[in-house]
Parts: sequence; structure tokens; C-alpha cells
Amino acid sequence: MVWFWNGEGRRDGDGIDFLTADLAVANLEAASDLEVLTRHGFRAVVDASNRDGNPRYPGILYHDVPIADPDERLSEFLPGVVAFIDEARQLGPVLLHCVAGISRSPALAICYLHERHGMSLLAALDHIRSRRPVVAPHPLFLRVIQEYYLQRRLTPPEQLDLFPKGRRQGVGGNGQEDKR
Amino acid sequence: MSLQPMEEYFRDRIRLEAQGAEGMRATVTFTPDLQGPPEAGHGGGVTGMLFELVRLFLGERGGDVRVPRPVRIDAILHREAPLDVSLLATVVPMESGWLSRILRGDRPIAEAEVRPMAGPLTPPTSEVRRAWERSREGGHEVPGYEFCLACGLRNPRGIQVRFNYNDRLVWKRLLPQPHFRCEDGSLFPGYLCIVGDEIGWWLGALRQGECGLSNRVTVCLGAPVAHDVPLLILGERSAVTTADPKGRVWQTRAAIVTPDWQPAATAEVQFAGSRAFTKVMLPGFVPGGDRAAVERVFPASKAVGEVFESGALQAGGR
Repeated sequence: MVWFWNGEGRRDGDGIDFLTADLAVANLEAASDLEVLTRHGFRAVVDASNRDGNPRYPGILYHDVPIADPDERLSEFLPGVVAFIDEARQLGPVLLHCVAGISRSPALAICYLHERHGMSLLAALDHIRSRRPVVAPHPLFLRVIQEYYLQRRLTPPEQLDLFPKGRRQGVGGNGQEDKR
Repeated sequence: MSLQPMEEYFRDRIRLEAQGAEGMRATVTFTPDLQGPPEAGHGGGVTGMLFELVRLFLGERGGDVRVPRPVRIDAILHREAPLDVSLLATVVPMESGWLSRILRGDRPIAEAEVRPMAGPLTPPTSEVRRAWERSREGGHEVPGYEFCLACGLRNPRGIQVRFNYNDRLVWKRLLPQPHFRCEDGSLFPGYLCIVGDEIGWWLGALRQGECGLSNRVTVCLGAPVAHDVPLLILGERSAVTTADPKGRVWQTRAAIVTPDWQPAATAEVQFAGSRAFTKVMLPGFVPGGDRAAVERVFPASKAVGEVFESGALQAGGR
């Protein structure tokens, strides 16, 4: 199976990190810049910043994921996010962002890479970190994601282990809500 | 998610009946997704259609420019363009340009004189640029009609633009939707007519604090721009003027520029507003709307509170 696009990563110095040819993660500042969005051809944005008043540009589709960091309701939003990205990819690459592009938006990206590119959850996380080293999803998000897919029983459990022995996940997670 | 390109969509609303060197005769129908206020075509959409008729007459399509640019479109909107009604449309050459008309029977609905311009379009002054740089993403956002071709967030064929405003400016940065792309990659000119009329309407409405209508729309189009270039639409509130002693008719000016401040188009709109228009149009802003946003724009109207407080109009929120 071809997991994801052929591995040519792009990092352009403007805070946008492409995970695949048509999926990228960024922070709020980059996602608020119309020139940056246009330069990369984004026509759709998943906004997980949970903030009011972010710029909304006519011509770009937005999908809101109003969650704090952390928030165990993450799984409630996953079907909608995956469906939105599936449809929006027809228009061009899709940008996922939260405030810092460290926790919430990468957590959503893990799920998309798992569901649509066949990656194990851990491989998805490693892949995202390889493209965006600052990524550190909150451990609660990782637990919620793992539990969500275990309950769905669509993937062998060994592909859903985000906490393998000898490896601590959620670097930087302190179990408290923060603004990432 | 993908829609028929707007250039084709406009052309599909036109049924050509006769064409020769002396002119063109056709019918044109405004469908509900081309509405401005409910039950009527959008003023900018009508202006765009008048220009589209000229483009069709001259065989212009996409970026294959046959109407020399820059070009000035002087439209008079005599009365509302009814929806789903087949209207007569004519184009005739005239001295140094073309006359495009839309009629119902022998009553003119709208007409435009289209003439090539001698000089380039004027970009916003450096003072206005600086004012916008200071404003950027702030200010308030105007409310909108849900299905309007310009501001309707529930009209997928529309532009879905809701302008920002502060004491000094009205503006919006936007990226034309993919369906406004012509086959050669240029921006459909009707897009500029629609946003040009829309900002003029709001400049007038904000000045007067009442709803109204655009009855004259002048759009000057520069050279075709690529459809995927971000645009800034910008109008200065202090440039809204009137010669009407009752203060019901306003002249507005705005520019539509690319990121390097090159004007893609300019728009001048004559806005005529009144309390009566507000009473008629206000309910359209209510479904899904923000009461505070409506009251900020129409502060003089007591009807705002009455309309919001009537529960029947609360349905249909976005």
C-alpha cells in the first residue's frame, strides 16, 4: 500500500509544515496570513484554536474544532474532521492549525494519517514529528485517540499502541490545560 | 464541492436569439442563487451580467480579451431584476463602446454603457494604504443575508463576503472561490462587479444607517487578474458624499487591489437609502444574525429590536 505521498517534505520557513502533499500543520499566526495560505494553495482550513475572532477569508472553507488543550471530547470531532478533509482535498491542500501547532492540530493529523494513509498511530506521530519537530500532542489526546480506534475495532490493536514500553509520549504534556 | 464555473453559469442563463454586426438580442434569467435581497437579482450580479452580454457579443471568453482594458461599465439599475423570469437582453454598439440592456417587455430593468478607458486605474492613496495597514484584521463585521450572491454564507455559488469596518474604512481581504476561475485561469470579471457593488452598498448603508439600494454602479476593470490572487477590497468612509439635501442618496468609491496594490478594479456606487427600505430589508438580516452587529450598522432603526424580538424570524440560523 502506498501510505502517503512520496515523501518529499516541504518546509518553507513560514510556519507551514506539510505532512503529505495535501495536508499541512501550522500555528495560528501562519494560518491567519492570507498571503501564506494563498502561496501554498490552501482552500480549506481546520481551525482547532478554539478562539473567536480569527480571520476568515471568503474563498477559503473553514471547519471549526472547538476544543481546549486537553479535552477528552476530541474523539467527538474526528469523524467530522476526516470527512471535511476528504472533501476539501478536491480543492487543494488542507491546513490544520490550532494556536501553536504543537498539540491539537497534530493530534487531528495523526487520526487522518491513520485513517486515510494506513499508518499506525505511532508511525503517524513519528511522521508528523519528522516534519514538524515541535509537535507534542497532549498525552490525554493520545489516550483518547488510542481508545477511539480500539473501540472501533477496524485496525489491529498493535497498530494503535501510542505508548510502547520504553517510550514516553506527549513530551511537554503536563496534564494541565494550556494554550498550545 | 466543485461548482460549474461562473463564466459558464452566467452564459447558461443567457439564451441567444439573434446576433449580427448591428447588435445582439437574447433572453436572460436570474436564478435565485444570483439574488441580492430576496426575490431580486443582486445589483452587482446584474451589472456583471450586463458586461457579460457585451463579452458574449464580442466573443470574449476567459482571458481572451476582446473588450479592451481598462474598461468602464456605467450601469443604471432602474428597478429590481425579478428572479426566474425570462427577460429581454440586447447589446448594440454605440460611439466608442457598447450599450447593454435588460428589459421586461419594454420596461428597462437595467442598462450599462461599456467603454474602453484611456488611462490606467488609480490605486488607493498612500494615506489610505497606511490607514488600512493600521486596521488590518480589526473592526466589526457587517451582517448579511443568508442567500445573497455577495454576502450569503448559505449561497454556495456566492462570494460569501462580509466586510469589516471601522470609523475610517470598509474592507475585506479575500480569495476568489474556485468557481470564479475562467478556463484560462483568470478571474471572472463579474466577481469584481459583485464585490464592487457590495462594498458600495455597505459604504452607503453605514453612512446613512439605513438599508437601501444601489441604483447606479460604475465598475472600472483593469487588466485581467489571476483567479488565485488574494484581493483586498477597500473603501474610505470619509469619501462617501452626497449632494442630496435630505441625505438619502450617497456616492461611494472603493478599490479592489492585488497584494502589490495594483488595482484590479474600482467601483463607484450610488446608494439610495431610507427608513422604509430598512423596514423591508431588515428581516433578511435576522435569521442566524447577530443582533449587536445589526444594531451597530442600523443604529437609528427601532425596527431592529422589534424584528429580533419577533420569534418567527429567529428560525434558520446558520
